[in-house]
Amino acid sequence: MEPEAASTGTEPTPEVDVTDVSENFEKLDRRVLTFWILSSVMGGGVIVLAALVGGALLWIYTGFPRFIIVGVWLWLALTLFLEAWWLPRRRYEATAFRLSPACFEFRSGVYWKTSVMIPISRLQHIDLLRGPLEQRLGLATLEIFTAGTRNASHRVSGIRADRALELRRTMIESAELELE
Amino acid sequence: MNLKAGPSGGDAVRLGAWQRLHIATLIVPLLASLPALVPLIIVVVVVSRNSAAIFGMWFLIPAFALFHVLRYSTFRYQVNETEIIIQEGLFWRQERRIPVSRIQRVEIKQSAFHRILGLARVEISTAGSEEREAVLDTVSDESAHALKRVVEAAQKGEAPASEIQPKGRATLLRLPLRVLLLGGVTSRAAATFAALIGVILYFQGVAMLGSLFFRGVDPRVLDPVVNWQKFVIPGRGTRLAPVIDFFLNDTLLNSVLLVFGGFLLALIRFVGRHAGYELAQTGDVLTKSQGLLKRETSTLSRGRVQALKVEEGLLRRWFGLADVWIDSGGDRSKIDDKKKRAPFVPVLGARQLQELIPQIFPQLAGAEPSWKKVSPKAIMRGSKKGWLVVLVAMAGAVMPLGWFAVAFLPVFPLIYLLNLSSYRHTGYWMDGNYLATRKGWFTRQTLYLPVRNVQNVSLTETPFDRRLGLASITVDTAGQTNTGGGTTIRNLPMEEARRIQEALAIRSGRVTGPGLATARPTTAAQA
Repeated sequence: MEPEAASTGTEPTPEVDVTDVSENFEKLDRRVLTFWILSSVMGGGVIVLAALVGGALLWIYTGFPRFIIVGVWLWLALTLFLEAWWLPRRRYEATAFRLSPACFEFRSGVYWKTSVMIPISRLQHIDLLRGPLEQRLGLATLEIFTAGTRNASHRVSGIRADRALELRRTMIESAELELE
Repeated sequence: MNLKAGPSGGDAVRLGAWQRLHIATLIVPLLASLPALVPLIIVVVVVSRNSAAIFGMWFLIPAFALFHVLRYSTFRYQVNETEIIIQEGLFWRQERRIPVSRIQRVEIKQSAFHRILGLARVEISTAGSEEREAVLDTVSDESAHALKRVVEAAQKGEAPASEIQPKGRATLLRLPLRVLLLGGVTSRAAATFAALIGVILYFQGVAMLGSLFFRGVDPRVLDPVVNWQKFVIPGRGTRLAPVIDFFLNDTLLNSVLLVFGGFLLALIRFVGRHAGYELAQTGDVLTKSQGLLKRETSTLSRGRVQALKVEEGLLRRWFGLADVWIDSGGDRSKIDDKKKRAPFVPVLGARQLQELIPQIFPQLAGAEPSWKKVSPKAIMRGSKKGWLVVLVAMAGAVMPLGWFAVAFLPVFPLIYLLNLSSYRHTGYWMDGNYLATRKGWFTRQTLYLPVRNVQNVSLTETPFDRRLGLASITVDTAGQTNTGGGTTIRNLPMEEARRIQEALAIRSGRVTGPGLATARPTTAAQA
């Protein structure tokens, strides 16, 4: 199983323990909840507003069946509630990452769960992105690039800004060490 | 400056000296684009008779010529031991420096035209570029090969030192005419035409037999079978009907001949394109050349092979043949462009294949993959999915067909059998250096992947997966142009999937090699 560790002259990197999953994992910053809630409210707000105004106009000026208007309002309210209140919490619980000497692992997805492992030595570069809202909240997004084709880059959003910087530095430094 | 006088004159690459393209560059593109221009000229002159259009044409041709003169006079290149430098542009002068160690592949292409004049087109690819990093169009034959030799020399001894290969040039593979012909007959295009002939004959036969044997049967049932044209071609029964009849029935022979002509053409194209196929090895550099009229020569360092895929189509499998595709990491833009895919070996026999693979992946020598299967839950899972589709189709067919919808019933066991067969042929295998996966029964695909080329590994668990305790693994590598995408292993038991993911990611990170890790700063290297 381990012929290559002997053949490469470098110090073998410590094995990542496969069994403990939750303990070494780092969660996102709690403030990401605010970020997600605000983004979905801002995104859905326009639609909700349009539906409210349009529904009200229909209610007053036409004989449009009112139960449909109320139905649409209720449905929108439910969607917005799920989208802005319930889903972010589930997402927060489902998202985690961990950095080991050998690779960076990122898990996400409430229903469609994915876990990506990126060997540190395969990193091409790392971008740090901060939108206006993220800056306000002190958050940052890391985008990690490999030379892959279809899944070449991976985004981890909602990390505390200073932690994101630190992560990036650590990863870049160990990637450089690997190169030598 | 190193201007060449004659069409075939000029010396080979002078290291470290600025050189221009071949003087024939002035005419060759013009001549090469003539066939494309002819219809345009005919349209302009004959059809339009419009003086403005003719004037426009007279304006276009000098502009075209001027463009080529400017391109020729502003383009120069230099080759030395470490890099290739190309300067071009009149107003926006651009200098590109391509470190030789970053070059993934050098291709020399010669059309029939080029070969007569002793010219060539050189295409250079690196890992970072979206397309060809540089194209030298046109240089003399000798300069092209000299340039290739310089790159080869610089790349030699770059791959792992585990090989015991002789330093000289060794031919790995040649394709005799018999294999080429067989390959042409079993190629996809030829097979399509053959199938078309079969379809025409079949339906004509059915139409004739149907009128003989099925006299007592309800004509509504046989109608779609006997008068199939009515359903396939919407024009039947309209004013176009006589025309369609003419082409479909009365000249049955003609249509068969036409399709047969297509079959022959596909065969000739295949054989012509790959005639004289030769794969040679010098140290670590593989050189492939092929083509009767248009000769193509491309080189590739063995250490740069990202993945190798063996494809065995249904027809080819009957003849014991396969084709081989490899990714070099050289071009990234064309992942989904199937037309631009080019096989590494267009066709070869089983024994040749067994000898070839260890030549490309040396550490695979002697390691016969012992395939591991995925979870057997895959069979029922796939069957259920197929059954659902058929059930929906059956429900939809009840209205028009009535009781004849029962005809769908044999499909159910068939779907189960298909899934069973697919399960039996799906497998993976992994050791310290390689990952191999295979799948498919109709067309069998086997993919070999050096673990050091793994860029990232993702594990996906859909809600359906979760109910069955399964997951799938997707392995991403660089430049999946020819093999058509990262390998995905579906229906793995969760624990096993995790183990594979961890093992691949950690091993890939640990094994260093000349994969893509060395091809990193290409973009930075462009001036």
